[in-house]
Amino acid sequence: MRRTLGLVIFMAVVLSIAGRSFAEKQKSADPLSPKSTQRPVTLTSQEIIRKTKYWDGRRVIFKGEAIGDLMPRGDYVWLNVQDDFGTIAIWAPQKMVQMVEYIGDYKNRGDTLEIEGQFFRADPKKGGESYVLAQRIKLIDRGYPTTHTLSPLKIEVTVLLLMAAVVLGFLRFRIKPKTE
Amino acid sequence: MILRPQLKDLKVVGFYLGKMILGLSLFMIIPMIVSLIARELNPLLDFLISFLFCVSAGLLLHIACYTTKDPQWSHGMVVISLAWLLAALLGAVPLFLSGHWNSFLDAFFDAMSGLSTTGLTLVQDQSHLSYGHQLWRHLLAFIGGQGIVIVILAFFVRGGSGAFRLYIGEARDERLLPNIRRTAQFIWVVSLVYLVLGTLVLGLAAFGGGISFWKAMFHGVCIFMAAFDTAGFAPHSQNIMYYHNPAFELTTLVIMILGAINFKLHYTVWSGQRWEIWRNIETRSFVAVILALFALVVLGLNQTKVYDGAVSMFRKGFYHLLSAQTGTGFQVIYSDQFVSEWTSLSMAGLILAMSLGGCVCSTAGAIKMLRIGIIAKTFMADVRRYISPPSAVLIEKLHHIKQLILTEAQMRSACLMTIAYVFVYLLGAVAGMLCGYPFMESLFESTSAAGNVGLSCGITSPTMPAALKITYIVLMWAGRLEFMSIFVLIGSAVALMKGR
Repeated sequence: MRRTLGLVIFMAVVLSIAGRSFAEKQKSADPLSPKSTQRPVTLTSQEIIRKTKYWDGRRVIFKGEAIGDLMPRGDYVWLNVQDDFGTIAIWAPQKMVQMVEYIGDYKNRGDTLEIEGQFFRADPKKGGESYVLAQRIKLIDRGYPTTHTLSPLKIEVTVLLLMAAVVLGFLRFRIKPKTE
Repeated sequence: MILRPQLKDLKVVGFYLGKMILGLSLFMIIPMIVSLIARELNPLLDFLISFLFCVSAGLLLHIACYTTKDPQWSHGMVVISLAWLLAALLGAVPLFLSGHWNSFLDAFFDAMSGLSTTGLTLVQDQSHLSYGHQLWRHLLAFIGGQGIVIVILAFFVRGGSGAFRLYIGEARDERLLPNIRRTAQFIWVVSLVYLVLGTLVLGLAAFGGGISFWKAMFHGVCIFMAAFDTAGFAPHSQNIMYYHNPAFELTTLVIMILGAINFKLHYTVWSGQRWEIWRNIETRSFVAVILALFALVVLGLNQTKVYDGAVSMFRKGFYHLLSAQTGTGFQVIYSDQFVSEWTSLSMAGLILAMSLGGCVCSTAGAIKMLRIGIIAKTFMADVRRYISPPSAVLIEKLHHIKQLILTEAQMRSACLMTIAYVFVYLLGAVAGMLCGYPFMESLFESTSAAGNVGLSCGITSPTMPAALKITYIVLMWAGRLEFMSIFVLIGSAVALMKGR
């Protein structure tokens, strides 16, 4: 019991050190700060991720395919958007993503979206999440169901391997008793 | 004088490798069923080809090398080291056929990463990967975490002394039950119970986070396998960050800890001795190391003040520390952020955590807590010896499931393994630097690979040099088997060429 109490106190002390600067570091999350009123810059996910500190609190435009799932949380929704280099999380009002029909997965090419919004590298209000707070989302290209045709070569290889496995299985049960 | 292995030795090795390949083929039926349910025909064909190839290869070895001899120590070690290489090669076949890996080397890298429960990945366009292939990646981690040989032992081998030699070769040395086959079966039963419970909790957390029910359950099963087997794979390239879900993160924290705990401790607690958790040298070392390193990470992160508030610090700082310490490698930030936002001090905290690892006889890799505990005890014993009268007889004890007297052999073994791991971490770092990467990043990635962790600061990518990919494959393989099996394999290869 004493040890558990000790652990809890230790964690509390360490976390309080971490929280010490909480109040003085709100400016990056302030939507009225000068950074958030600048003209938005069009960027790739790589450009954002490699310079998160620079883009923190700034307005960015990011274009990519909606992938995975739309994850609603109250009036807002989490959406992950992927370009050729990586994926960026988007936090958007539900009504802003109503036009999204296709989400990218094995069977679908997701809708291509252009998102304009403010980037946060580690928003304390969201437990340190990196994301873009969407202010405008535009549908660039409608997604579509993808087709995957079967390769004839793969079918031929399957048949050959099936024949080999049957022959070897037959041999295995014939040979084993003799050896034993 | 080195004795050249005879034909009968090669037959024993070939025979048990055949069994292992047949065992692996059975696991391929699971993604086949999933592909069938999800109506994914191409992936179904990929797994059918791989399954038939494994069955044919396994039967061929079984027929050509049929023997009734039990494996000796050297056979066991060679079988184990080759089994892991072969399993990774064969496990890579369906991955490569999917077209989501640039080359077979990349697919082999991921298969070895999964089997060794590392979690580094070279997959491309992961979001469009089929359900079958997603499951296979995670299943590889589950098979590897439980131990490939455990599969053979549980289902294909009689529980004699030969079985025990195979078990030891896989860097496990604790017999839970008198019969080694029953030990293997117990490990599987425990894992399957945790699998069902963990999948439900994670699935419900994901469902609560807005993912549709069946998809949430699929994510649940994948993430459970990656967390419990401390592998760190996830169905999306953003890893755990994809979910934006604190409940999900908290659940993975608990599962990661369960996965990093000694299986014998699980057994002891399941048998009713709950206080063993607090008395065991490994859990004590684990808690002490975590607390010390958390302080280091917090101090480091406070230098840049990137994470404001206790919640952010817990969700980013503590999460990554525990992910590193347990050898899981789950990430909730982008790889590049380690370099751009974490200071050298906090990076050093993570590197230390990765290098120390979890408990022995668990799915965690690296040096491991029992050895750290023994080294700490040895150090304290030496200090006590210096300050005691010369005539004093000092006996050092440690509690690991039962009360034990610390022996010279245990101290030497713990120190040697620690030195071996540190040497391998540095070797990997040198390889990284030779490929042009900075020291800190190279050491981070090398420790992550050799410690079977899977955290990445951005070096691991499909575009990294092939030589570095091969280096990391070797590190992951050697780290998982704790070197001895591989030394015996090299020795056997030398004996085959130069022996009399």
